[in-house]
Amino acid sequence: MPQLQHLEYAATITLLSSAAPNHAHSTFPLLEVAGLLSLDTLDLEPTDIARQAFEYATGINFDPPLVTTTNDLVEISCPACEKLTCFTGHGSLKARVAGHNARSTVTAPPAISILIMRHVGTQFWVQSAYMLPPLPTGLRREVFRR
Amino acid sequence: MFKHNHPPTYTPSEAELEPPGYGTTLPTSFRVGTTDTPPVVSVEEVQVHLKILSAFGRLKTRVELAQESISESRIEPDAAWIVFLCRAVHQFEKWIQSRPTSGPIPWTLVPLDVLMVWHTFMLVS
Repeated sequence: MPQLQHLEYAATITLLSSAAPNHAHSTFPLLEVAGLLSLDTLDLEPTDIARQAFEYATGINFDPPLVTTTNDLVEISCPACEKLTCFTGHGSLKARVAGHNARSTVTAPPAISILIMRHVGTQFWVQSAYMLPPLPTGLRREVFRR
Repeated sequence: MFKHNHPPTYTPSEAELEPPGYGTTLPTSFRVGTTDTPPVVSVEEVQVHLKILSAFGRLKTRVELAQESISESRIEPDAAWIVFLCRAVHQFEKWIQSRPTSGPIPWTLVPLDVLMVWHTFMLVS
């Protein structure tokens, strides 16, 4: 994929198949969303009712935290070779990392697994791997802490 | 002796700063290969789609700039955006699992990061 040549980072994001039922393919509410975007800020301005409805249904704060610090992240090492920079897979994801022969998996639900990869030459190498604890209910958006 | 020839100063007029105008109606059909194909989207749909994509782009900028507001324990802006995306996928999963198990999703307003993942999911599925 030539367009990836210019990217320094890439993320592996695995959407759990069980979390994407058929009805997720419903039509995206293009017009409704665009109509609710502020012309000045291009941000959503939800009513209190809409905000509370989402937070009640999901237990998630409507406003996602914009700031992430290293204190929010738990660095994890490859379970095969113990190197922090060789994380070859998690959950159902298995990938062979160049320079390492081991295939390994680790599961860490319900934490969010994050691989940060750096583009080196013609390949992406895993730079670091993290687990991010899920957002607890009532979290303030300014700071996300474990 | 070599003398630099600087270009003359230039101040664009107000009219030149505005994007060029464009038509808001489409022809009844477009020639695609050997067949005539009617438009599959309208100009209005393109406009609102661009508005939403701009909102996603603005969100990415906000996340990256937010990293500059902290002095300790910061991570690189690119990495912060990846973390934000991973978190957004998690939010999307939680939201979609809270919906009815069949039938279309009733439209309720959800956060922009969740909408972004939903939009991407529609493109790749």
